[in-house]
Amino acid sequence: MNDTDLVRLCQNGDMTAFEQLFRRHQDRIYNIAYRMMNNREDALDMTQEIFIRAYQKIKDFNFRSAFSTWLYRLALNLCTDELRKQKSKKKIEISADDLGLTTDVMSVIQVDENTPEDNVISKEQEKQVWDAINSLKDKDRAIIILRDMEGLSYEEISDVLKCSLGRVKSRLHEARQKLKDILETNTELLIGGEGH
Amino acid sequence: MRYTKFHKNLSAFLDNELSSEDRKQTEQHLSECADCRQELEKLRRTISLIKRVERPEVPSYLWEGTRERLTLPYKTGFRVPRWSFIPVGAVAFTFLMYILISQSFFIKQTSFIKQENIQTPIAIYLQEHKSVYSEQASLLDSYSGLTSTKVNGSSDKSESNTPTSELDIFMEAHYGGIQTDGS
Repeated sequence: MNDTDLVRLCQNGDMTAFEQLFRRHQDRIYNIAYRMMNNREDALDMTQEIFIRAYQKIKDFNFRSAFSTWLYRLALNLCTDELRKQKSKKKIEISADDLGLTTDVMSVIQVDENTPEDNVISKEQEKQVWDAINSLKDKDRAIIILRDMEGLSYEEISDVLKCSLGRVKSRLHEARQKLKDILETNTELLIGGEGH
Repeated sequence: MRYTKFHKNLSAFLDNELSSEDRKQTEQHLSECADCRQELEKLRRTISLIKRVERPEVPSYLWEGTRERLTLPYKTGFRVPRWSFIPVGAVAFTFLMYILISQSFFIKQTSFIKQENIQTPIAIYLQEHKSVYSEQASLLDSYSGLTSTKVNGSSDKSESNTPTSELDIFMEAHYGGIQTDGS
């Protein structure tokens, strides 16, 4: 059964259909929440909140876009709102060290010893990458999550962010450029690039 | 170099999201520009590093927790909207103000009544002696006219008979002096 069929059943109050949608999309939604919120507890809370909101609003879903697109948009909006609230309470120092997240986040970063030498990065380097990603603005981080972590196409991103393809192209390039500049300034991860 | 058309297209070039025409032009430019080739490689490595971050594992209990929250009335669409508290608050505020105003008015009224019916010892005394005081006041008025002549007139008398107080003068003028022996 595809998403559209399940959504129709949900709109008639079928909780089992909603559970199927949940299980189908929980991985991506949890990953988006995890990357946006930058810690596990908030990510779990936000994932639940995102699906609860989806359940509450599913009757308003009009099938003009894919359900997944609609869900990612909801996820990003809720995460951004929550981050804004948190930042208004206190200015968050977005550093994995200061937030005590290093262990938590690093525990899920894979180090594949069998990959070619070019792809092997140490724990310290992984932490540098993570810090760099987290130091980006929310909107820049969001587009990088959607493209480089979730693998959405430019078209899907334009649906999620409700902007043109041209805008997606320029926003993504700006975000990657900022990340590249941070890594270039603060780390040696990009040295010796050409020729690899 | 940094803000040229080719530079802006490098991300899309890596993602294979350029039109065939733009791709061809970018490839042509890259073959001629070492700076752009270096920039392209840095972007490629940046993207590769991002992708190296593994996905977090979803906890198995996530659905159970969500379903539990969904079954709570306030989380399943039956939540009382925040705006509905506004009229409730307004009614409560009006009622509170009514109570406060009526209370203060009642207090004022009762204190006024109490003041009118006040029965302190001083008040009782004043009431009882009201007539006496008014009599004395009229007597004193008439006395004040007499004293000046009487005092002047008694100036020839011996010092022992000279009234020593206003009361003596008063008693002497009206009753012929204070009778201390009770007769």
